[in-house]
Amino acid sequence: MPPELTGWRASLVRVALALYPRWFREEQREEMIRTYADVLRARGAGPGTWAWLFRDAVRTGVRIRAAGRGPRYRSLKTGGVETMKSMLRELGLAVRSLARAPGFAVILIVTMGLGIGANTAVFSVVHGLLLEPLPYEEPDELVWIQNRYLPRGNLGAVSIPEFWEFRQRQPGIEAMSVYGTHAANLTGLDVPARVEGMVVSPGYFDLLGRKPVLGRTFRPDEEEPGRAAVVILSHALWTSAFAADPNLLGRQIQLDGQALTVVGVMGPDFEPLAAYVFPGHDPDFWQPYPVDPASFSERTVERHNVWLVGRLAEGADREAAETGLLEAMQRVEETYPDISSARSRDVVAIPIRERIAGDVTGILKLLSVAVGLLLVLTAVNVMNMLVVRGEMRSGEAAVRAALGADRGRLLAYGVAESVVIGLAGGLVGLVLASLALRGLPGLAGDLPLPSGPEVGGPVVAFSLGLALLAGLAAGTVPGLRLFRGDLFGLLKSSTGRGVSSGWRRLKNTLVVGQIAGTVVLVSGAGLVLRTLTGLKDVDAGFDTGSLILVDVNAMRSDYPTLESVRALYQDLQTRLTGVPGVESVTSSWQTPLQSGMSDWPVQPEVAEDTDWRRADPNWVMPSYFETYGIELVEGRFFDRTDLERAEGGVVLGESAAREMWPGERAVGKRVNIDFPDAVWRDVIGVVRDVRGRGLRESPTLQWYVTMAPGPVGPIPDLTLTVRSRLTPEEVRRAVVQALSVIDPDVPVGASASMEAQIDRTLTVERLLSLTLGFFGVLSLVLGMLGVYGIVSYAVQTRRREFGLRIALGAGPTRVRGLVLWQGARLATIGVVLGLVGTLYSGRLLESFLFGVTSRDAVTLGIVCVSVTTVTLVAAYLPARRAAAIDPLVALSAD
Amino acid sequence: MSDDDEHPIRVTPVVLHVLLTLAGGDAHAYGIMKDIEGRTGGRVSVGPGSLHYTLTRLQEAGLIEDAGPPAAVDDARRKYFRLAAEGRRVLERELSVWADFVELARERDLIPAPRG
Repeated sequence: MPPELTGWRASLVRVALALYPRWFREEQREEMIRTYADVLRARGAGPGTWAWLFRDAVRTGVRIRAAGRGPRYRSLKTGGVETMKSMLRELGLAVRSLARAPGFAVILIVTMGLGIGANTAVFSVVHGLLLEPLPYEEPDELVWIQNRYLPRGNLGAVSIPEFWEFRQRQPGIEAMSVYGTHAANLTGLDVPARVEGMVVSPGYFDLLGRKPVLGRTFRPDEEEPGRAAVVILSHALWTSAFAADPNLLGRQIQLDGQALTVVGVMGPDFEPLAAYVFPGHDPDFWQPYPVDPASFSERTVERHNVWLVGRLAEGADREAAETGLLEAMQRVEETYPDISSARSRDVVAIPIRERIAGDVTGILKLLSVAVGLLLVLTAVNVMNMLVVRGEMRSGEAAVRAALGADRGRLLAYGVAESVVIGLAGGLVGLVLASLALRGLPGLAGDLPLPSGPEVGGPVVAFSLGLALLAGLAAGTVPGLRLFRGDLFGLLKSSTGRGVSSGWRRLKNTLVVGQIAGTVVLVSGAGLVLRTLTGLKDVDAGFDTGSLILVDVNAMRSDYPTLESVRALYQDLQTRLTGVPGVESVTSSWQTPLQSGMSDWPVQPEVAEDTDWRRADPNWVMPSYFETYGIELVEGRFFDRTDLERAEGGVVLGESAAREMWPGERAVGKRVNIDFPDAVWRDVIGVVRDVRGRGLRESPTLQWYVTMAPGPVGPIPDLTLTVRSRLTPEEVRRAVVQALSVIDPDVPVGASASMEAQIDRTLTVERLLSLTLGFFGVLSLVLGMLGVYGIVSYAVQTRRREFGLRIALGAGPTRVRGLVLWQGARLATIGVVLGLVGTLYSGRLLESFLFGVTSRDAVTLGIVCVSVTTVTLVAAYLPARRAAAIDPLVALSAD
Repeated sequence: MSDDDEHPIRVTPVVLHVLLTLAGGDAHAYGIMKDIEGRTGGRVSVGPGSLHYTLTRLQEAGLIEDAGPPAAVDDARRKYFRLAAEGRRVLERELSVWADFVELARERDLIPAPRG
């Protein structure tokens, strides 16, 4: 006490000081005593002065306590507390504290769960496709060998003579196996069944390093023609059709009317390569591919009908192997110099993983970026909400600090809660991801993952790790905020500014980032959506409505000739035409939008230009064009008489006609489709092009022949097409009914509408627009919440200013405008940044787009306007509140 | 949106007075109290508790800062305060709002216009 403060005066000052909270009293004691002394000296120590001093002490004491401002951090080291134990205790406290605000906790956990769930789902697909090793021996050595046609670089299958030459030379490849898909009718059972199989080289299973559970694999000599009456069954077929009978080995089964000896059964864990390379295929049997070098001719060289898988030799690299393969191919071309594809191609050996994941790698990259962005946005949102909550709870932290909690403990206290939220969100995310992946096959049936993406160990580890990380990230800022007073001192001394504006700027930046991210995601969704509608509007060249395709497979042994196959289908068509509800029926080898291997040679009869072209062929019944609604351009369609004419006429697609006779009528000219012979056929008609290989692919050159006798090709497998208002199942029943009269042994496969088939080809686009759209909406909601929070907070802190302005005559419109302006600024910056981001990241999307570029002004414009509008709506609510401020209340609040 | 929108400090009359005093030069707590009383002819007097609490808050918010004893010291043990740049901006903004207020009041003849 200063010298003038003695006796009863000093006692009264002590009493006055006792009215203040202890932390304040201890901090300010000396200064305040000095001030008290000054006041008493200047005013005199009369009762008036004392009354004034005590009134001040009581009021201020109450005010300080009400404000609940804690003391600054005091260095009271707890020392010796085991970190682990205290961390666990913090987590326990955090769980309890969150349980007291269940609504708040659920919102945060679900937000986090959505972000992490999206990442988990995408990662499980990435993991399955790109990271998990294929279930074969040394899968990295496996390569897929293909022809590459120049100059466009499109890839194609190889021919058997090429394979033979490759295998003889073994150019850096120690083993290889041909590979073809093949379906057959399994008979001799109660009901005939259509089963899918593969024809492979005898070394196929050794190449993959897999052994059968029963019996043996093929012997090398079993590829010689005539010796190949052996078959290996899948575990699934062995159990379902033969009741897992171990005595089946060595017995014969009937496949396509041929008796085949079962020599082996593969294990249940054998994933056939086909399941990866040709998604949706799941072979149930394997037969040796017959190879007969004596039959090699220009025709067999020209027939590119097998796929080739090989294993790189020890120490060999792909380039060397490719060079060796090319040399082998050149030898084939020297032997058969007249082949149409000579010197127009080379060979590539693609790592098998690349071949499998190739189509979807781009999509996965895109989705990874999108979900990563989404997770950042959700974490930011959780952070924002925690900060607000932290501000409300600063008193709690103060109490803990007063009780001696040190800096680390306070930080742990702040972070623990968000870690709990992160981990809980991770669990929610895992559940959401498994649910989403369970629904995935319906959306994206044809992923090259035989057993589908799984939420297994690595995926769980990934998403919990991500959850922990997101939780920590979201908790750091609120944690630091808990001892703002101390931080404030640190920040102030280094920057000379208050922490408040820095923090505000951070929060604004986060919200601007959210808006920008939203624009990127929503734009992506919009562009893919426009692609989807664009593709649906594509003119496929035929009438896609009410067409139903039915798989009918006549056994080759029962229908060995073209005539017998034709008779069967003609009979079937006639019977079906009589069914009520059926408009028209036809059969063909290929159906539009899903033709497979093609690129047949075709040559026009022109004096100066006899080059072979490559075109997509089709064998059709005469009613084909009418049933599909393909328009005639010139000439005529096929009719019944064409079926009987040997080497009958050809119908060309528009492009093919134009390509071969530019500016001239094609009808009346002649073409040769019997490579390498010369059989000249009349062009009897020209029809509009159809999209043969999918909606995205512009029409190729096309020609059609009818099922007339002639030298061209093998006897085709036909698909039945019915134009009808009946459902696919009703049509299938009608087909079964009709066949029960004609030949009950002919199995009827699946039926599907053309529209469903088209839908299947749009799987990727639909999946992409759905996911991007979902992410976009989610981040839009998050961004809205962010803007709402920031603007509300600003209105709260500027209450007095707005009160004054209103008192000064500012109308509600002007005040609302002031607040909206704040939202508009955030929105504008966010949208502009988002636009830049969209233009930049658009390249990722470009390959999925159709009929629209990644810079499409209309889409981006709509997105920008919508996002801005939504942001302004979020700012409007606090703006209305600001305009409704009562100046009297606002100004007298202190 | 100005940088002060989210300052944790509410600009109460006491705050305004303190900032006004410090705008005229560094001062210690009692000096500020005297200055306010002198300026307002005793109509406004801030109690020691209220003043010290306000000073604490202002310092934590970065509006004022520790000045250290001035050259011509009357009491080296006392704590002197100085208006920080942040404080000056808050003060100016607040005053401009009040100036608008006053001008409006004059236009409506609620208070007399300044002479000359």
